[in-house]
Amino acid sequence: MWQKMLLPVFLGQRVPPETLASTLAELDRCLQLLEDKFLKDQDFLSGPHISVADLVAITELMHPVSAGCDIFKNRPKLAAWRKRVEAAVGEDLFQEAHAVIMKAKDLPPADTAMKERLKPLAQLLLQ
Amino acid sequence: MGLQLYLDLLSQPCRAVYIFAKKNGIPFELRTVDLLKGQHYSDDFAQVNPLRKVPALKDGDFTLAESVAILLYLTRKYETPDHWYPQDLQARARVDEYLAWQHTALRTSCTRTMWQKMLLPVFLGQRVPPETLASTLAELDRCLQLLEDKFLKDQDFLSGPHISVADLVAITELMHPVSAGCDIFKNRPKLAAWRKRVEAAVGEDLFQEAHAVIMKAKDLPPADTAMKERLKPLAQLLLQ
Repeated sequence: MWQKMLLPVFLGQRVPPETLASTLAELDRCLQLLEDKFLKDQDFLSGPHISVADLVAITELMHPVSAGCDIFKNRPKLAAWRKRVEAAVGEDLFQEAHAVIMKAKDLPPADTAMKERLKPLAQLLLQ
Repeated sequence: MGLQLYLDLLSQPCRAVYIFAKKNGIPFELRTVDLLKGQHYSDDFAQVNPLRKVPALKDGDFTLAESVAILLYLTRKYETPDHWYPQDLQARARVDEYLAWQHTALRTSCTRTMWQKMLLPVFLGQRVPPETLASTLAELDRCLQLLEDKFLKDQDFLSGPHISVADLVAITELMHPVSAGCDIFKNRPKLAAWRKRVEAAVGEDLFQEAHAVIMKAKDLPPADTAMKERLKPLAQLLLQ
C-alpha cells in the first residue's frame, strides 16, 4: 500500500522499482500460502462458515486493492472466497467499511508538516 | 500415535511451547527440526507445516502451525490450570492483547538483536554495520520500555497476579538477546524481578533445560560454506 500508492502519490516520494517488485513478490508468496495452507478447498479460511479470520484477511487484502493492485485478478479461488465473504458480511456494510480506503488514492498530497511527521514511518516502509 | 511437537529450541516460540508442555506434564513426542541444517525446508516437514516454520504440532491427523495457536490448543485440550489462559473475560483479553502485540514488536527486535549481535558476525562471519546494530538495540529498548510500562506495570506477571502463557512467550523471547550477550535486565530492575518470578514459577531446572541450546549458541563453530549459502537470504533480511 505504502510503496505502490501512499509514498509516491501522497508523500511525493520515489520508490525504487526493485523495492516495489520485491514487495509485490513477497505479497504474492503470502497470497499463495493463504490459498494453499489456509483456504484450501474450503468455503472460508477455517472451514464451512465465516469466522473472524476471514474478516481479518479480507480487510487486509482490500489494502493493496485500494492501491490499484488487483490481487484477485489471476486468483479465481481467492476471488470466489472474497465474494462469499462480502455476501456473508453484507454488501452495504462491506462498502461502508471500505469507503475511506477506496478513496485514499484521491487524497490531496501531504503538506510539509505531515511529510515531516510521516518521514520515519516512510523510511521504515521503504526497506 | 500421540501428540508430536516439532521444535528447535534455538527458536524462541519453540521454547515457550516446550516449557508449557513439560510444565503441565503433557505427554508428547519431541521431533527435533534442526533449523541451522535447513530441516524445516524438507518435504516431510512441509506435510506437517506447509509454512515451513517451527514450532508445529501433529495430533493424530490434525496438524497445527503458529506458536500462539499451539499454546492455546494445548491449554484447551489438556484443560491446564486456569491461570495459564484465564476464563475471566478481561484477564483473558489481557493475555490475548500481549500475544497479539508481541509478534511484530518484541519478537522482531529480539530476533534482529540475536542475529546482528551474534549469529551474523560470529556464526556467518558477516560484518554488521555499527549503526545498524545501534538502531536495532534502540528499537529493542523501546519495546522493553513498552513491555514494562504497558504490559507489566506494577503487576507480578504480564496479565495480572498469576503466570500465564503471555509470560512464557515473553521470557523465552527475552532470553534470545541475553544469549547473544545483551544483558537487557541489567538496568531494568522491574523486568529482572519479573524474570525471577517467572523462572521460579516455571521451575529452575525446566527453565535451564529449555534454554540450554540457545545459551550455547555463541559457542557454535562457524558455519560451513553450504550453510552460509543457505542462510544468506535470511541474513540479508535481518540486516535491514
